[in-house]
Amino acid sequence: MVDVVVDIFGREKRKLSVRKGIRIVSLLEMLNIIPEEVVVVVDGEITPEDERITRDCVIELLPVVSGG
Amino acid sequence: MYTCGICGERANIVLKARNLSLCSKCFVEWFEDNVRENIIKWDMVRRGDVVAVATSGGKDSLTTLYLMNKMARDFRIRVLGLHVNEGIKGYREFKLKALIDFCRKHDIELHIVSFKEYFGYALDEMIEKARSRGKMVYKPCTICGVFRRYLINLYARKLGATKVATGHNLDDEVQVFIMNIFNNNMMNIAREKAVTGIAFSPKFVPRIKPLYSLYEKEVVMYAYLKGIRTPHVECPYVVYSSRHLIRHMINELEYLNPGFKLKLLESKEKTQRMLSREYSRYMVVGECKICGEPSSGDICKACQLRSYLSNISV
Repeated sequence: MVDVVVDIFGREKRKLSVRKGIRIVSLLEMLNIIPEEVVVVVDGEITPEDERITRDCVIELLPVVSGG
Repeated sequence: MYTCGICGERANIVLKARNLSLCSKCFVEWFEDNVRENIIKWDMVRRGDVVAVATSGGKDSLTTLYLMNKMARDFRIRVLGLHVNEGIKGYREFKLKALIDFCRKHDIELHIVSFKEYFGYALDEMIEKARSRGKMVYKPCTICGVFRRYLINLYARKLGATKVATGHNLDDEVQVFIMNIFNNNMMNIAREKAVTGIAFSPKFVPRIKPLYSLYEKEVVMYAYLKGIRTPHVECPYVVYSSRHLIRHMINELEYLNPGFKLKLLESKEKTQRMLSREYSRYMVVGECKICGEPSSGDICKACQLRSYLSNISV
């Protein structure tokens, strides 16, 4: 298992323990987020959603859908 | 692991719809090249143009302002920011602060106008008035959109602008296209282009959309890489917008079929070309009999709304 901190749109942070090697897209599904509606930043770098999580990290989700 | 399609280094950005992987550095160049190509392809600006960038303080309009300012010397244009403060508490103040800070940092001329100052009421007050009388005939987004477009055109002209640039991206284009189909509004499909309003009326400042061919997600990536930040606050009236549902539906389809939005944009352009011939005689716009601003009818939508709001406030 690896520990990830997910920063969701700068509004809330969730600490999760997930299976090592899980794809980011599966994590987004768990959070009920459509991949097209976020940009994923892992430890400060934009990262494709089909990449696997192999270490403890901070995942920042940037909202693509603006509300204004 | 992905490889950058331009430099061959490790790629961290995958654009499935375009069948392209890029590293951050090449993505920034690719994005800027696309904006430059849009400006040239659609003949968006000419030498000597004064471009007012309609800027809300959100990522799309800040990116547009940043890029138009960056490219001003190449295209030999003058660029300024134009902001309309509609007056939504808990939302506008954060976006406006981000915009003021941004313009200060990049030394960009910024002009601010407000609903309160021009129409006498902030949007919150207009909505409250309508609600308290139980007469919510118009959605907040309708009132906001009509008054906002009205002030942008009016003040852009007052400031001597020859073009108004907006932050509309590919997602906006296809969402509006679908909404127009759902509403059977063929006239609006005929009008919506990368550049609009050239022949509408001498009082209408033509609008250009430099981000026209770029996905909203690509705009977010570019803004992130260039350090263009805006607070993640949501307009409280977004729940009233039917566009919200259409947007999610299109995004789900794009995820399942990468390139879906690009195909929709192509369909929109083909439909627009066909319809523009049929509707060409309706494209010339007259003037509102009350305020003298461009209007497709005798009385413009802003004056109709003003009349509605003054009646319910009696």
